[in-house]
Amino acid sequence: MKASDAVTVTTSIPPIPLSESNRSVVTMDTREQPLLYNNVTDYMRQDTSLNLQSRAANGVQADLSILRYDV
Amino acid sequence: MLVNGLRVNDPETAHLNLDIAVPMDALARVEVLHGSGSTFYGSDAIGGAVNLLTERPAAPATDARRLSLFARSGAGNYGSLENHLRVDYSTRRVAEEIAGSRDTSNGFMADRNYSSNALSSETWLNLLPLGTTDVLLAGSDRPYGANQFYGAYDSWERTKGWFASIQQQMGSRMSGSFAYRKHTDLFVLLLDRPNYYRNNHVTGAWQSALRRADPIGTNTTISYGLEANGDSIHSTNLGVHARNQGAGYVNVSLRALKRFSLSLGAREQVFTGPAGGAVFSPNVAAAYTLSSTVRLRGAVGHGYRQPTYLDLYYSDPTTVGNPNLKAESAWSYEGGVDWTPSRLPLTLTATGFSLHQRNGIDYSKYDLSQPWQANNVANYAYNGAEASARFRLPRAQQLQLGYTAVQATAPPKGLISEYAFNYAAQSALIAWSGTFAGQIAARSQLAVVQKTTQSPYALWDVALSRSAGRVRPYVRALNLTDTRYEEVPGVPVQGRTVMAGAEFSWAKGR
Repeated sequence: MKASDAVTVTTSIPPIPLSESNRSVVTMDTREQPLLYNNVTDYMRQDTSLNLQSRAANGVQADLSILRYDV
Repeated sequence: MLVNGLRVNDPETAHLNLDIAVPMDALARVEVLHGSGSTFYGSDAIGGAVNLLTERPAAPATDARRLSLFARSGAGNYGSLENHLRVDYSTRRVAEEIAGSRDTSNGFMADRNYSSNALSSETWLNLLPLGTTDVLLAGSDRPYGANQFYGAYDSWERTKGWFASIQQQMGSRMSGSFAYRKHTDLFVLLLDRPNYYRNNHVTGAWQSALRRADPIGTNTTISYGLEANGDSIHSTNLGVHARNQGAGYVNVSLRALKRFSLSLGAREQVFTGPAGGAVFSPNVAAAYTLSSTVRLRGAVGHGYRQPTYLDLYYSDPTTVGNPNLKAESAWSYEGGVDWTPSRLPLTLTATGFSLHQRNGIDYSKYDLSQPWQANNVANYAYNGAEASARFRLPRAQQLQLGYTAVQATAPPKGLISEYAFNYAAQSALIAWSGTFAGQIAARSQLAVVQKTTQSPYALWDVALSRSAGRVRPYVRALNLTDTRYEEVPGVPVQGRTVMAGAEFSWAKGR
């Protein structure tokens, strides 16, 4: 995981040039060490600003919010 | 919540926003934007946005085609099994990726078993002179025991999802997209008396967008677009409802005006439905390079969110909606600093934020035996700060420290809140990762979380895998200390979990 001020929050076609250089953005490369993780919530738990409220394991049932707001 | 920039939020309820039809194995990157992202991502991206991104398999360098396969199987306690598969195929003009996953468990307590299944196919075509055509098809099926999920009931639930999208590049500056998402949610309150009380919700949502970005001079980009989307629900409990939205946005990004950069965005969104209307959401973000190692930044944004169908219309013995709910709105402010010292292997970022909301939507009650009741919280503010430090150590090791604290308005005495007052007041993380002997990857993470009105708890995870070779064994241990904790009040979650298995990889062509 890395916090970066230079990343472009993108869609695949084409990049959405968000006001990326001036914002707090965290990127996680899920192909770097895929066997150390199993689901999206494993990655979410690396970002202390994400509030994960799971009822079931493995991302089967969970709310995800940033500052209380669902994303 | 977005997949390749397309919304996958569920209009029924936010509980299902992570019920994503695309399997984990299809994803290559997760991007998290902290703070309002409403110019591009919709006016409801109040706190931020998470974008899950797939990746086109690399084109063959020398051969006519390239084929690769990754298959993973593992098992663990609670009768847990995991089976994942990814197949990539590419030529110079066509690429295809198929991914699937099946995760099952008998559950750590009675009637908490689950089966999580997802399958996707994504095709990239370079056949039109306009540019790449990207077609993604995905489906998921997740039956699970929901014992204690929504009160003292031995419940059961099954969700299914379908997602289809097409994105067409129209030259280097423009794209068009269309997507459709269908989702079903079958809920049985009492597993041993399935006909006593049950709900079946079927939602549909479509979205379309036309986006363009044009450079103006060397340092400025203007981005603009039009979006139209709609959703509907057919539900045994919530009734039959539908609503539509239309939006236009424009964003001007000025980079490197000497030491200063600025981004100005505006979005006008029109809603139909009971909490409908038109909303204008401006966004401003700026940064100033103080020195070669220090950068200051700040942003202000506005957001607006309609209630979900469950917020409005739901009714069962455990949860009661409110058809008179108003849409919630918020202003967010943030300021931060990024420090990358030239002589130290360290990156440090810190951000302070303040969010002021109006008519926030919450579920609350005064006694655990009462149902959750949806209501608007008139005025509410969150103030907080986040900081992270990343140290690059020898042997490709990395140490990451993270901390977020939020000071929220105290709940009224005796009120039990499901969302508004239940935010994680403090969250800290220390994580270490490294690669040894060129083929052993290891990671360990200790997280300490304190949610408002609850005691802090610690979760320690360790994972180890072979990262090279055709056969790659792995082991993951989650919650090693077997900490008993609840992320949603009254819902215990799984303790220590150990999973072990191996991945087989194979490739043909270069």
